[in-house]
Amino acid sequence: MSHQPSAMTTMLHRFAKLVVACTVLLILAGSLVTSHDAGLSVPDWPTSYGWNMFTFPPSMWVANIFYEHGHRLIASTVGFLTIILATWLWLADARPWLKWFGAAALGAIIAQGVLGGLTVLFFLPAAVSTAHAALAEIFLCMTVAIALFTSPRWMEGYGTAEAAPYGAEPDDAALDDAVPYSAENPLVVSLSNHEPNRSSFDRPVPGKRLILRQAQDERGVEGPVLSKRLILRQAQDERRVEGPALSKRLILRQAQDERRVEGPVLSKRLILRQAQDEPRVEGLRTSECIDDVTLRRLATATTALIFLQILIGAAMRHTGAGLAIPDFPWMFGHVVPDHWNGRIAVHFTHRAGALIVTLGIGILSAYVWSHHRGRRELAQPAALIVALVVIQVTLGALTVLTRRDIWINSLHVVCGALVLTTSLVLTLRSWRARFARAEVRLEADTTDITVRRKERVKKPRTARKPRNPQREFLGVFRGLCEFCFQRVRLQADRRGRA
Amino acid sequence: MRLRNARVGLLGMALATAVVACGGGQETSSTSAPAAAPSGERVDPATAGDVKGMVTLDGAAPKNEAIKMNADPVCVKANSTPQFQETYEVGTDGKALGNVFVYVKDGLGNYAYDPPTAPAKIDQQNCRYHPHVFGMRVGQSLEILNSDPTLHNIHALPKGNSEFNTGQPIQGMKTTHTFDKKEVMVPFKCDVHGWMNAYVGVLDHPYYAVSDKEGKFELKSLPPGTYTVEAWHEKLGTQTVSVTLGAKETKDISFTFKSAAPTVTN
Repeated sequence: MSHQPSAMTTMLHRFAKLVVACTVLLILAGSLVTSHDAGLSVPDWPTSYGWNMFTFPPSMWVANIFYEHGHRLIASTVGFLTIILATWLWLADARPWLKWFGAAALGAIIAQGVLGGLTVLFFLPAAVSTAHAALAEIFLCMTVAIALFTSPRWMEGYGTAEAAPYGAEPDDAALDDAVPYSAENPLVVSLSNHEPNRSSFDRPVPGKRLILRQAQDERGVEGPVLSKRLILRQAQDERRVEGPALSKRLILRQAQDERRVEGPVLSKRLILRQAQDEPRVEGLRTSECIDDVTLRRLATATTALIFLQILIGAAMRHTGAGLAIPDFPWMFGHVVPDHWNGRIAVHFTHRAGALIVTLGIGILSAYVWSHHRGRRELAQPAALIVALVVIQVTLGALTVLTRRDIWINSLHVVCGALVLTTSLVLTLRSWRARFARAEVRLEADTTDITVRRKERVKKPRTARKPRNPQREFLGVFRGLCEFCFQRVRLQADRRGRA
Repeated sequence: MRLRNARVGLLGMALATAVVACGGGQETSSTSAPAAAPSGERVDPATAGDVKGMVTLDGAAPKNEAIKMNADPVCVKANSTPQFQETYEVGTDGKALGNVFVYVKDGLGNYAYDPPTAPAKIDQQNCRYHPHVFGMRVGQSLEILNSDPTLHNIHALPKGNSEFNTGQPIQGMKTTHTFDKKEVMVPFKCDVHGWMNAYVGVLDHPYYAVSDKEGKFELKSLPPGTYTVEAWHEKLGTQTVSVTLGAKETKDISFTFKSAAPTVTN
């Protein structure tokens, strides 16, 4: 049986990529604002010359206002897209940390907007403007990371070419090792046995309808998909649970109890996810992901260096030190400047940083090519970052030689962001194996179910009593309301009788 | 759980919307604290004299930078001829230098002066500042006018006074501002039209002038004494001359700026 990523997952990934593209456009717009010295061409914020930002007449977007106001509008668009992205992640993705990461991205873009406003209201102080530029890079990195985390390849764990393709039938040995949990718990169906090459936690949770269909198929029930309630009834019958059909919550509680999962009842989605995870074939996942400590260290250090270099570049740009050393490749005709001041020092640091970063990228790429050439997910960004850094150094040189040509200068900023994000992608992919391990929170329990049930009976029930103050308050409130309602009705009855 | 998720989403949207939508309006005028009441010795008109002079340029006048106004159709329409910066306002003889701010820098002592009644004015007309260089008094009101049918913002970049940036999107808009400290010079710029710039010298006395296109200037009604007079040019820097003025005397002084070796002090 083949299982493809759900349409929702694919759409989420595509949407994340759209947010990345819009963010790159936003960085270009921001760099054009600085290059045109248009940062204060709209003196007020969040209004534009007293108008609401969104109703400011286009006929007034003249000269430098076009760049500043355009930057604000693109930023607002990215802000709204990020709201959608964060909400989507929160509602649709099973990974709690990714939900919070999406929320953090939303927080970052809000903070970025506020920083942008502050830099206008305080007349572009270098510290605030530099922080604005730095947060822009961080936000771009966050959106790129989200796009990566929601990509099918990341979820697959970057399976090797030798491993079984996505959705292929596993070999017999793998199936023998797998624990067919679905046989024990008919509520959930394992898909993992059919997808041995996928990492456990990042697979998309199958839809409810699919789960029900599979549960039905396993029991040989033909015809259209039965209702959830009927399926639950059947599941209960199979376990010989007497009485009326249990609620979904109770069923989930039982499913959790059987696996000895403590704490409050997990959501249905999480239960399904765990059920999917439990029968996974140990060992296969780690063999799929690159787990190279040297690569991780190299990539992480390179990304950190690039970010630092961008910070220095931003400081240089916002302190007006872009042409503090007016010649290239020499510096005042020498290898090292023959005189110094603050601006020259910042400019010199940026040039020295460029050398260090280029060297770091060279070492990282060489390492990837020598050790992981066969891994497309690493080799591709390694090749791309080399090309980008060559373009970036060229643009940097041209920025000086053309006396800060507006477009060359702006493209230098954008290319720097692309170098950073390419390095980030390489870094995150090098950490993918660690991500997979960290995500597994519940290990498969292979003990016999009867033993587990006995153990559960011994366990004091209070240990896993859920604590939810909000629900408790609502319960008390509902009880009070019902009491009052009953009293009123009782009094009305008495009056009626009287 | 879903309810909580929806709440969190709504909260995020509300926050973002608040960030976008909230905020105050734009001040259309800004004023600093009025100058203190004058106290000190008064200038006696019966003994006051004048200082006249000329500013010249030594060497060939550099070419003014050409301006491209095509970013704003209104500016293009208002200026049919090629436009240049006003950095070097050179007379017909090629020597006289205009737009030089000349003022008494030192030697005035503890004189008190009546505050000016009329406001200083700067107009944004045909996408240029008029005048390009001017002087005003501490505490004097500066009237900023937008005569153009396009948007301007006037952005002052002082070092000692408070920076301000005021938008004037509508033709005919007026705003006022006062400076509460003396400062030579305070640059003005329009961030919408990058070529627009002007300079104002803010002084606590009335002895200042701007050289005209013939390079001439005049400082009137100076009390007898010895003064340091400074001439300031936006690119060529400053020059100072010492002059001693007797009662009812008129003295001629001159400043010569070298175009080849400018001395930038500001």
